[in-house]
Amino acid sequence: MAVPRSVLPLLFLCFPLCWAQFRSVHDMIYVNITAQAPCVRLMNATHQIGCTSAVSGNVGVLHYCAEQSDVDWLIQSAKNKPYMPLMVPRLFTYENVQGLRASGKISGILVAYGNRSDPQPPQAGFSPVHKCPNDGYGMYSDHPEYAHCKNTTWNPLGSGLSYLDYDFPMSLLVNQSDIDYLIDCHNRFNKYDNDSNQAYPLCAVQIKDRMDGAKDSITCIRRSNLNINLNPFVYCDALGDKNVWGTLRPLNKSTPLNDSKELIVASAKIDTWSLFHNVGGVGANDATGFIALLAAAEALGKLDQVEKNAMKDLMFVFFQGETFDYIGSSRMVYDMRRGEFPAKLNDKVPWQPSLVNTTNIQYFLEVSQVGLWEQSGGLWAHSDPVSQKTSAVRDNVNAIFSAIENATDSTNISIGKPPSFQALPPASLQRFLREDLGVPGIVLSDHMAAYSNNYFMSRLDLPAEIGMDIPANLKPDEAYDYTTKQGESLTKVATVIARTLYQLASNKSPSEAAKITASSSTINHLLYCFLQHANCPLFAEVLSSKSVAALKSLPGPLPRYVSVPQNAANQISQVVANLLTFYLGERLPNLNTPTECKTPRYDHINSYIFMNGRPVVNTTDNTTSYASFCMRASVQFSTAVSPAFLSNEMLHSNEYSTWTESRWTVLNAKIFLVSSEAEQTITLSVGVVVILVSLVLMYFVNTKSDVLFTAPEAEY
Amino acid sequence: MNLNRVKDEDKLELCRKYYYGGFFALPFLWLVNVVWFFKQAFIRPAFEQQQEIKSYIIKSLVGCILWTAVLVTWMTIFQMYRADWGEIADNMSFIIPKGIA
Repeated sequence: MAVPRSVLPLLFLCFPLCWAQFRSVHDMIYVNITAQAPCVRLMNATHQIGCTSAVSGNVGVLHYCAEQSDVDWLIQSAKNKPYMPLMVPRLFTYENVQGLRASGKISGILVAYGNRSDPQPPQAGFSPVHKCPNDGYGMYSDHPEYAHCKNTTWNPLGSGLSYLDYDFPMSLLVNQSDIDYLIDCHNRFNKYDNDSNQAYPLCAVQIKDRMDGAKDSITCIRRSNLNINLNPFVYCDALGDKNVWGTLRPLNKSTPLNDSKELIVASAKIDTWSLFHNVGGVGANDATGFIALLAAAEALGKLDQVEKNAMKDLMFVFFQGETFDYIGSSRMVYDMRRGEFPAKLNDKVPWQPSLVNTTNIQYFLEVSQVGLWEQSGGLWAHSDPVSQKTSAVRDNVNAIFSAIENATDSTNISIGKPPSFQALPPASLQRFLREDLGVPGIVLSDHMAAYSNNYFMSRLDLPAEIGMDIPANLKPDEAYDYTTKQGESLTKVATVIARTLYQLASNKSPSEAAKITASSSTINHLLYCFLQHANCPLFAEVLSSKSVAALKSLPGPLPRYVSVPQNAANQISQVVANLLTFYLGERLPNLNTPTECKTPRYDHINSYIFMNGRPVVNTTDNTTSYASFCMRASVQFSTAVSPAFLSNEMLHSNEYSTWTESRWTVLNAKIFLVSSEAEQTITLSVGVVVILVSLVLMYFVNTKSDVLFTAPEAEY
Repeated sequence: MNLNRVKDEDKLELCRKYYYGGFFALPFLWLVNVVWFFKQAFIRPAFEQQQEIKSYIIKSLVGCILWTAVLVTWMTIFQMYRADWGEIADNMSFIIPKGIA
């Protein structure tokens, strides 16, 4: 059959139009969920945890659960399975998730994040991690008395919800408009989905977030390294990032630490985790440790250079990935023991820091969660009973404790020692002691035994839970400067830390240490920037102009999930590094452009960072410029990737963290109306019947064509 | 090629070539042979080369069935135990499925 020429252009015109038509049909059927934080799959050497959808996504009838009775109805009497419950935060508990899972009636779970001001956490507390965090990777993994938190259950509310393997997706909805739309859709179509009435169509949700990795880290790393395929595929990546460390005074290899035991280490961890991927603003009490340590670093950084030179070496360390079986600290200790920390000595580099080993550490002070000390009767100094059997270690631990005692005396905080049968809580210090029992250390925290924090390692460890309520009527710049209850109490803690470190490093009397005070406005700003809004004046001042621009689009705080290693450090590690440089370093007024402010190639001791500075408004033409400046400090990144991934033996050794994150390619969720199965079957059957009938019809028409159609007179 | 236009002795030659070719681990060649020469071997009235063609076709058919049986058995075993075999199975695979053990 020849197509008339005039039709051809029409046909070409029709293709894009028809396609556009198809798109709009798609849009008429589906409404996309704009933002979600999915639960993703993680793996260690033996297990996979987290969630995944089926390859083509999971579909379920939406059911809004606002009350416990709604969940019970789903488990007991719902008939139109599978369901996709949308739960308020209060109902997302271990019991409900397990009940729904066991009922076999759900194909996924949606959780409403709720308004930030009204997250409605479960009253009894919520901690989805283990009762004994990082069990097996600390120093007591096979100790007869202390292994598996035998003496003290640190996190009694821990349900282990995050550590289970789910074969359905779970997502946190972070956009209130999505939640409103879903509730509205539920109210219009699904409200009558009860025992007596099952009226279709029903509102349904599809989630697609298929995970690529499976089984365990060993399997997925092996598969990623297979070279049989023409286009190799990576199934998972090791978790990791960068630790941040800096010294009050530069370490130089010209004066090695080799034989002296005169180094003081102050550490805190920066990362946290929640079941839902990369949710920002979680882990408020978890963050108090490193915030207090940063403020203490600022207080000590203000000392004049003469005094700094007279003091012992003081090193601040901010560990990444500690949540996942001590990634950051285990790597640092590994590097130290091999003589590779901060870096192997190289004769070609004139300026290099001296090697640091665990044997150089005289005092180790770790700041753990410290936000809730007022509720638990003061600060608590935890130490390890095993290493203190040696008198030298015991003496040094006692020296740290008396320094803290002196510092708390002058700030009206009480400091206590937990009973002597108690071992160390989960802490980076444990990784140091695991390798070297000669490290004298104390872990400072706000709990004597079990955590004071009822929302440990969950998305509900929110600023409001640690007394950081900011009156709603304040403008952003007022809120930024506002002193919350937490701000007040954390300033005291930071002061205690600064005075303790000063006293340990300088051997001066407690009364002289009392001249050092952490700045309360620094604490206010750090709390606000890390836990409320990352797009804040302090971060805008200390970051590079490029990073500041990246923060502009961020509505809340920075996520603190360790994530997988990229070329550059995580945003959060970068911010901590810049702040530490800002607090410890010196301004270089002669270097005024980013190109001038570059770390020289021969200098491996210092980092030069060009900071964006404060905005300066030019009154004559109302333009804003920035008072950018160059800072130099001995602040560095160090690798925070588990040593397990360095060799196959170590991967199998059970000695180091083996956590990996699965990759995924698609991540979306959409809402649509679904008809009953009977209706779907009828539609399909009718279609098939129509095709068959027309085929038969055509066959007969074809055989009888000479009868039906009279051939026109031959025209050729 | 239209078999009707080929002489009977050439048909036998062709059938034999396909039969021997199948021994190079090419069971599909045997299948083609069986389908192609089925009419010649079993339906057409007897002719001189028919007995020989028939024997080749039967042997091709048997070989093809044996191959199929072996392959189906292996595929079933492999699919059932792939996850348990771990590394060995991964090394045997050309495409490893995503998201399952």
